[in-house]
This record gives sequence, structure tokens and C-alpha cells, in this order.
Amino acid sequence: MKSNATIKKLSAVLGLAGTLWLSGCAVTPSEPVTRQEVFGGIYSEKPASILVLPAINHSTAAEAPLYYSASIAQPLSEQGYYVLPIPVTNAMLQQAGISDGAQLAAVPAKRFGEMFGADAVLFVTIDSWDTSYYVVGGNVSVGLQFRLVSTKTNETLWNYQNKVVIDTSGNANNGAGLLGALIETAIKTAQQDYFPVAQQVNYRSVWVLPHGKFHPNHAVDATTLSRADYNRKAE
Amino acid sequence: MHKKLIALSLCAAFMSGCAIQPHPTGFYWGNYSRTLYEYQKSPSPSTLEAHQNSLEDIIAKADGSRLKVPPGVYAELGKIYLDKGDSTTAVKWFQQEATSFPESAQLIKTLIEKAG
Repeated sequence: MKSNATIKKLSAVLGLAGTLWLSGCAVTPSEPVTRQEVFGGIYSEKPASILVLPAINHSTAAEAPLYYSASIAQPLSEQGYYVLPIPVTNAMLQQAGISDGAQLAAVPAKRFGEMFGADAVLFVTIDSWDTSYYVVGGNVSVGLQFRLVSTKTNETLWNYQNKVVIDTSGNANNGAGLLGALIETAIKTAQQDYFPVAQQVNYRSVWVLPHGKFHPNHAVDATTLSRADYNRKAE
Repeated sequence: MHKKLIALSLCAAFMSGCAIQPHPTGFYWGNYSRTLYEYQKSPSPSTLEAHQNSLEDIIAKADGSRLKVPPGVYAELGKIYLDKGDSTTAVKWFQQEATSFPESAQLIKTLIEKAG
């Protein structure tokens, strides 16, 4: 009888210790979120077509908007959306006298909908485009803010601040020594082709979106896991 | 031995170049992004021609089932013809865009009005 009580006590203590141990061990459990929870607006509106506006450039790289606009249509369409032909819409916006940052921001999304028949408008701000070089290589760090706005309601469907770092070292140094490496880096810096960097940055940003109607996963991806910061207003 | 290796790697390169692995959407973009970038960076008759070739190559390679012409390609080609003053060919491509992608209807209507 007595021993039974002892065992009970012991197991209670062990149980408590076990709980403590377990809770101490587990990484703070973050609430699992689904794409449906993160992108409710997109699942309810189901935008099929997107008008991509010229990028607003706050970075020091003057060419950054050019890199962006030439490489965004492919990943966005492969995510399943009809992307209006960017060179065509850019030319029309220019003719209408609305082609730079401040002017674009002043136009309500509904107006873009009336002009082009797009379901949503994608605004992009390039915050930074910083290149770093080391003795044997380098990288590019790109900071972007995406904002997808419904042309029906003017509501923001997607807010995403992303920072992407792309290694541009390639395969440097093959035993040429420090001087050789320095020369190699200098040559590579002068000839660096940043277009593939822009392509990767765009791919690594738009993949978080729910799939659009042209992708086989359209509508069935609502239960897949996502992250709250994939759709959160920048602070 | 050396020759064999070269032949093998050439063969591999040739084969990988030939078989285009389709994306789940089926959209085939070819060299589109690269030639568009080159043209926008330094607009000239030769960079424009290179980009036009990309667009035409996409249309030629796409067979409608496995590889599809992606959004905007027909319309962009039409716009190039329109800028060159060939509105008949322009309208033909604009209509093709609208047929393939009804999402483009309003944009295409505006473009055809411009061409007319």
C-alpha cells in the first residue's frame, strides 16, 4: 500500500520533470499557419491577372528597376498568373504621364483596373541593392517591398518585405595565390552580370504567393503551410 | 579516351539543349527575359531584333500542349509590329493574345483601337 503511494508520487514528480524537460527542449512552438490564413484576400478574390508597375527605386543602383522589370514576368506567370505584357503597359503608362514612383503611388488601384482590365496591381519598392566584394568573391544583397493591391476594392492583398542575399563568387581561386585571387576578383567585379541576380531575387520573392489559375496547384494549395511574415505590412 | 570524353560531353550538352523540361504551367519563356533586358538597357535596332527573335522563337517552339506561349508574348510581338507601322500584322498578334488569354481583353481592345 505504502509502496504504491510512493510509486504514484514518484511518477507524478517524474511526469512533471518530463513535462518541464520537454517544454524546455522544444523550440517555442510557433502557431502553424496555412496559405489560406496568410493570404485570405487572394483566396477570396482569386485575382487572375496582374499589372506590374515600374519599380520605385530607393536603392543606389540606378539600373535596379531595369533588372526587376525585365525579370519579373516569368516567375510571376509561372506562379500561375496572367501578367500583362510589361513593355506594353509601361509604354502606355508613360504616354499617360504616370511612370515614376510618386505619380504611380498617387493613382488609386481601381483606376489601373479601369485602364488595363487587371484584377490586381503589383507595386514594388527596391529599398537596397548592395554589392560586397571580398578577396575571393562577393555577394549582392537586395531589399524589396512587394504590395499587391486589388483593383476591385483597393485592398492590399499581399504585403511582403524581403531581403535576398545572392552569392556572386562563382568558383574563384584555383591555387593562383592571393595576388591571382585579387586580380580575378577585380576582373569579375568589372564584368559582373547582375541580371541573373535579379532573376533569382524575383523567384525567391514571388514563390510565397498562392498559385494562380494557370498553375496545377491553384486552389488546392490553401492548406499548405506558409509563414505569417510572408504577408505582413513592413514596420 | 580524351576524344571519347569530349564526344560524350558534347552529346550530353546537345541532348540537354534539345529536351526542354516544361514548367508545371507549361509556359515556355526561352530567352525572353535576357533579350528584353538587353534591349531595355541599350535600345537599338539590333537589340530589338534579338528580342523579337526571342518572341518568335517562343511561338515557334510552343506546341500548345506540352509547351505553351506564356502571357503577353503575342501582345508584345504585336506592339513591335505596331511601332514599325505594320498595323495589319500587329492586330493579328493582338487578336491571338485575346484568344489565348481572355484576361487580356480590355488591354487588347485598347491596343487594337490604337492600331486602327
